[in-house]
Amino acid sequence: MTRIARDILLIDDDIDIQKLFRKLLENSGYQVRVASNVHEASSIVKGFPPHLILLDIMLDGESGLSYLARHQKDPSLADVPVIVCSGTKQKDIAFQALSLGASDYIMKPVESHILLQKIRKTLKDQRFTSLSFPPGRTPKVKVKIQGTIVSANETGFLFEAPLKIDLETILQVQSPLFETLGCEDAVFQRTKSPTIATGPGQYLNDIAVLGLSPDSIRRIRRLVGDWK
Amino acid sequence: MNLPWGKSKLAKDTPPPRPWALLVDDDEDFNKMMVLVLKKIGVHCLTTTNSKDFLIKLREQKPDLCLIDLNIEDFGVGFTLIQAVRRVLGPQLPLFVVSGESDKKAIAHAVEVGANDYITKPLDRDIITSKLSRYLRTEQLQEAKGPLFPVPEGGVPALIELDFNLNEIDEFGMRLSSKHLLNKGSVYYISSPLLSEITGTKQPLLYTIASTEASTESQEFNAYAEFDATNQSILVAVRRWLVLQRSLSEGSLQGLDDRPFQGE
Repeated sequence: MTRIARDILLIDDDIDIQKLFRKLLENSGYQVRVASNVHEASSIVKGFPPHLILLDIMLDGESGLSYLARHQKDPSLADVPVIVCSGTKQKDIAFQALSLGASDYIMKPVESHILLQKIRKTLKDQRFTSLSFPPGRTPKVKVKIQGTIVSANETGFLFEAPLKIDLETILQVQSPLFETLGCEDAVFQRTKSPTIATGPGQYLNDIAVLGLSPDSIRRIRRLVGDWK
Repeated sequence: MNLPWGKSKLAKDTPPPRPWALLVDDDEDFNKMMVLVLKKIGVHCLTTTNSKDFLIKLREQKPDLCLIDLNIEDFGVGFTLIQAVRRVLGPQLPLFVVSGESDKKAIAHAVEVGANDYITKPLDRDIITSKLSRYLRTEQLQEAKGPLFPVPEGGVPALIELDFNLNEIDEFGMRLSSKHLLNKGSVYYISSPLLSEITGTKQPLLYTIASTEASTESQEFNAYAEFDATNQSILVAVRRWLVLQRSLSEGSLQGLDDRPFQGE
């Protein structure tokens, strides 16, 4: 199963911290975006919030606390957890941050394994955005399935594919074979014959060809007879 | 009304031996021909020349196969008879329509309202045999059943397109449902106007089926189709769209339990 990396926004004006954290987090499989101040951060997240924000409380310009207060009021960011980083002399500020809605805090100098642990825990508890469609109002999507026609006669064919087609479904089928046989305008329907598994994830579906003219049927019969 | 299996021996209302077919066509010569053709493949045939008699026999004697002339009486009567057969005898009964033309729209409509297959006039015994062998079992049909010939060089590629319901989208993929079963681990092209709106591209995109399960409530299958994890622009576009939807209708989005992610 493919796994999609979570992305973290780091807001810190210390270049060394930026380098260190980026390396640590990317090596742990996260994607990292970096901002040196709140203004940059706002521009980076615009329309595309991260999964988590690592925020240095003591920033140049607008303070981390002020940003945190704004963050909570922004509906597009309200769900994004924030872990604040502060020095040991700013414990009060760290607690203030928690009361302003930060998910957790970490003291500098940061220990790598503690940071990673806190990030994992925060993301694990996090509920991410999804959109459900109510029954009866679900949009349709078209799924294209590629397969192989393995055998045929004038009334139908066997289609092998990673798919079990529901019996008696009317189908849209495209194949160069139909041009050869001259039956591109036929109606195709999955018959009542059960699907046969031919290998891991591969199935044979019996499909009937309907509505051919007698001339077409005779021509197809001659053509497929030559395959022997 | 013809009773071709023996006029004197059976009472008028007794149905023929099974399997037997009930035909409605106002062309009596055609009807006689059909009786003979079907007799040769072990299927008895009762013929009628109008819809009223057909419906009476349908209800009283319940055939194993129905053959309906699409052009019987007035326009549309043929389709009405198909629906009547389905109401009286359900979806399982094989039902063929008969017509002098090969009209794709008429076939499609006939199948939509309940026909299984389509026979054109003039009759071709081999064709009828091939088609009926998919639905009825007689000794003659089994013997005469047309073989499927292997396509040369291992087969020819073909593409099928099916509709699925989109039940839910999250930032990693989407949950689909339908009566068809996709294969876990396989890759498919998926498209829709909504996906084009979200991703900003009209091209069908590739998705991997991460999981499938049967629904206990409906007779359908659910499949989770993942976005391409290497296509960052798509992932960004999806997340932007979800956030926008959230902003537009606060509180209407559902949260999700955590999905596996890198970094653990």
